[in-house]
Amino acid sequence: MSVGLFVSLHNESHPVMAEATFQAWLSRQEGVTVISAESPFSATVSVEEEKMDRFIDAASQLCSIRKLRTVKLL
Amino acid sequence: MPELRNVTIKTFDEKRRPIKSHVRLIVGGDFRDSPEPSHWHVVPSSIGYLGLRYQLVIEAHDEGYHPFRLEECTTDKEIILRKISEESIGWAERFVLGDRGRRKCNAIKIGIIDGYPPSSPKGLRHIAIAKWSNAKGPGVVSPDIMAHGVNVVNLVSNFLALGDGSDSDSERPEVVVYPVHCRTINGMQFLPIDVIEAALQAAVADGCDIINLSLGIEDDATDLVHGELVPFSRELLLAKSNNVIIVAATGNEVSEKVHLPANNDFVFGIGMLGLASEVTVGSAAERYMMEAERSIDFNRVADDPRFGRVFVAGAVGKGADFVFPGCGVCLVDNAGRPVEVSGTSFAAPIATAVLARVMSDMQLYVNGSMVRPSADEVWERVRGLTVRLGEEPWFATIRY
Repeated sequence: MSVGLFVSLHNESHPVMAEATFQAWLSRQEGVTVISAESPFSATVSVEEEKMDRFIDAASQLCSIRKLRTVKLL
Repeated sequence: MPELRNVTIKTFDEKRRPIKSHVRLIVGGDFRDSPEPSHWHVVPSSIGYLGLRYQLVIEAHDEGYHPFRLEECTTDKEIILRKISEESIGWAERFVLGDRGRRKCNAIKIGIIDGYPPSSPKGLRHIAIAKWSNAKGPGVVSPDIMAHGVNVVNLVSNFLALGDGSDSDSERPEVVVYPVHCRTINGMQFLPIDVIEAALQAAVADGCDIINLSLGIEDDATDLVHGELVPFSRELLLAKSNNVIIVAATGNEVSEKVHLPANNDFVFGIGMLGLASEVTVGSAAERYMMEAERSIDFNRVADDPRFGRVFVAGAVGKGADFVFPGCGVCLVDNAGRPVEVSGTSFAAPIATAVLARVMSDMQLYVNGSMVRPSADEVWERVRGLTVRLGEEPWFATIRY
């Protein structure tokens, strides 16, 4: 199972960003699939549950992470 | 354990012509759908009793629409489905619009954020589709979500008499759809809130005067990650500072709280009412009516001297400002077929259309330029035309 997350870059000066763009860095993370890139600095991703802790450890230093919220048609 | 016997039922239209139908057999909390649409079905014989344990829901097969209602079930197990009559189409219109001749609505720009096909279907070619980024971006457009948006747009068009060719272009309001696409996670489709927020930003930037949101999210502030903004908060501030009216559906379940963004003070939160005589057997409207009757929070059923028994279904309470017809509302779809829709999703566009008319009537030319009324001024005007929810009598009707 995967979990939907919305991630947004908040630390552009992080050393990781010197090596790659945010989107490229995201796509290299294990167990992470970029579903859509809302902007160069934010994206909707799905993360495999077993890889979640590892992803959060790596990502929390350079971006904000929150649960993907979905609306329903009424 | 009694023996379960099967019978064959057949479905016909009112002229006794076989019509294909779907059948859903509900047994306790479980249900089973017929695999293919057919004009005959084999079902357990106890379906004749519409009790708690067994229920048979029959739906004419017509591309997902419901243009038939149950007329009778004969002793020969023939189910007669009657087409919704022309007379029953538009009770909501009569309920809301006393004077059909005063539907002009000049120079108002209405934005609708919803699912929508890549091009407007036949009958809605006068509706513009915004070229905003999500329309070109990734994602999927499911047929159900597209049908939802088409019905919402159709209601706005219907209530403002757009597309009938009677007005010149300069007299017509401009209706623009902001199509939204789903994301797929674990094989299921979702509409992320970020997409809706981005569409709201685009609609405000495009100069929309009124924006319709026939959607929502359960309000659970305790679920927010530290530092995370309440959903829609930036966009609603943006709309407020640009004097844009936001209309949003409150939610369909009696037990639910009013959804976000309808529960925001700035937003016109729209609940739904229905007319008992227009409820189709086995339809969503019937379920909503039964829930309204069972509700004990306040009396949701009353007799209207003009129309008969009226009920308020769905989410009301804090954040719900007005109720409009939204339960068992009929409209003519783009193929000329009668369609029945139910949900606060469909009450909201009726409110949007009425608010557009109110706004149009209130705008003034000052020194050659148009001055729009503020959202607060429109609010006060609508309050004067309606009875607000929570006051007696509680069901709101607009005689406009």
